[in-house]
Amino acid sequence: MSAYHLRSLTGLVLLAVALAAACTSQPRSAAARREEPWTASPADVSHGEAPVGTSTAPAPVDPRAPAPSASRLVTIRLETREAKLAIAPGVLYEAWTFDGRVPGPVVRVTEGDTVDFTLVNRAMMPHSMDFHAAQIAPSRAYVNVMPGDSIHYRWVPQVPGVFLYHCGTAPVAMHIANGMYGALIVDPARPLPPAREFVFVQSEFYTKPASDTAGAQQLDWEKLLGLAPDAIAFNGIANQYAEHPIRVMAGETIRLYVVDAGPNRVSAFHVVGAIFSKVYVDAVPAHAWEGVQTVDVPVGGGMIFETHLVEPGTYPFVTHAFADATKGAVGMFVAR
Amino acid sequence: MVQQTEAVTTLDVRPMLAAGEEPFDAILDAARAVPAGGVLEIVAPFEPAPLYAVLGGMGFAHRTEPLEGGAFAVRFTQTGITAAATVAEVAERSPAAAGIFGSHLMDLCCGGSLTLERSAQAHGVELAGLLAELREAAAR
Repeated sequence: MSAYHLRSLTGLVLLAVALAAACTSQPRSAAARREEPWTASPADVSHGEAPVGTSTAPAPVDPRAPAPSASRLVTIRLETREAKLAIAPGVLYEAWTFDGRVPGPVVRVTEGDTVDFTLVNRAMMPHSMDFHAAQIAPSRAYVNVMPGDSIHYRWVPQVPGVFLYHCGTAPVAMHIANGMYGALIVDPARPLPPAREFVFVQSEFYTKPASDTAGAQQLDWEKLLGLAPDAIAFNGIANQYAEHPIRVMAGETIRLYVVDAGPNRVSAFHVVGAIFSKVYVDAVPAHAWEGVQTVDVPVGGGMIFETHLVEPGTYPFVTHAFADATKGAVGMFVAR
Repeated sequence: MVQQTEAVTTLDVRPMLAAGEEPFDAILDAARAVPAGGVLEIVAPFEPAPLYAVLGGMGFAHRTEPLEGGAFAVRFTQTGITAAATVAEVAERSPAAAGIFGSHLMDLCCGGSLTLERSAQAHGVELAGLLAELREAAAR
C-alpha cells in the first residue's frame, strides 16, 4: 500500500470522526484569536486512533489569503525552476515550479492595477506563463521562455475574481501536472465585505518512481493520459489540512478562493455542515448565487465561496467527487 | 528543418524555437510517421526531457547525446512497445523481451494474449519501469 493511501485512510478516518464529533469548546475573544496560529491541533478529532502529525509529515502550506494590493503598480517576478517537494507525507516529487513551490505563490491585485510582470526561466527546458486574469495576445505574452532567458510585460486586470495561472508550454498537461500553476486574485475596485479568507488550489499528481533519484517520484505520463491520479491535493500536499486543520471562529464569514488547476479533475467543492451563503460564479462579484450546497469548480476556473460555520466543531471541506477526496482532496475547519 | 535518410528522420527544432514557434506538434507529426524500427532524431537547444514520456507512450526508446555548444541530439527508435501491446507481440518482436519477462516472473499466460498493462497488473510489476526496460532492450 502506498504512502498516499495510508494518508488517505488517515484523512477518511478524520473525516468520519469529524462527521460524528460534537465539539463543546467555547469560542474565544477576537483579541486572543489574533495571537494564535492558523492551524488547530487535530488531536481532538482523531482520539489518538489516526497516525496524525508524524515526523514524515511535511509542513503545511499556509492557506491564508495575502493582503490586497497596496499600490496601483504591482511588480510580480516569478522564477521557473525544478524542485523536489513533498506532495504527501513521505512522498517526494520531482516538480517543475514557479518560485520553487507547488502551487506557485498566490498573487493578489486589484481591478485596474498595472501588473509589471517578469518571468525568469532558471529551469532546464522552456516554460511560459498564461494568466487567466489577463486579456492579452498569447502570441506576444504567453510565448516560450528559453532556459536562462526571461520575458517582461505589463498588463491591467480588468475583471475581478480568482483566476488560474499556469505554464502554457506544450505539452501543457505535463507542465501543469508537474506543478506549474497558482492562483491570482483580482479584487473588485469596490472591495468585498471583510471576511476570514483562504485560498485553495486543487490539483492532481500522477506518479512513478523517479529514474534518477532513489525514493523520489516523477510524472507518469501514461497515468495522466489514463486519468488515473495517485494523489489529489488542496495546495499541493494531499490531506494536509486534515492533518493540520484550519482554525476559524464559529459565526464569522469565511471566504474561500478556490481554483482548480487540474490538469483533469473537476472539483465538486463542498463544506460538510455548511451551506454557501454566496458563491461568486467564476468568481465575478456580479454573478452571485445564494444558498448553495456544492458547486463545480471547472478545471482552469475559479470560484469564490462565502459561508459561516454555525457552531463550534469540526467541518470537513472536500471535493464531493469522493474518489478524489479519498486520494487527498480533503481538509478540515475547526470552529471555536 | 527535416532531413530524411533511409531509416532516420532528423528534425532540428532550433530554428523553430529561435523564431518563437512551438515545435511540439511538428515533433508529434514526425513521430507518427516513423515506421516500426525507424529512428527519429531530434536536435534541440536543451535536453528535450518532456519528449521521453510523450514519445515513450507511443513506443519509442531514446538515446541522448550532448552536442557541442550545449545542444542535444536524441535518437528516438520506434520499438512498437506500448502498454496496449500484447506480451506475445513484444516477445516476438524483441529477442531480449523473454529474458525481461522472466526476470519479473511474468509468464506467457493465456498464450501471451494479455496486454502489457494487464499482465503487469496481474504480476504486480510496475508498468512504467517494465515498458522502459523493454523499449531500451528492443532498441539496442
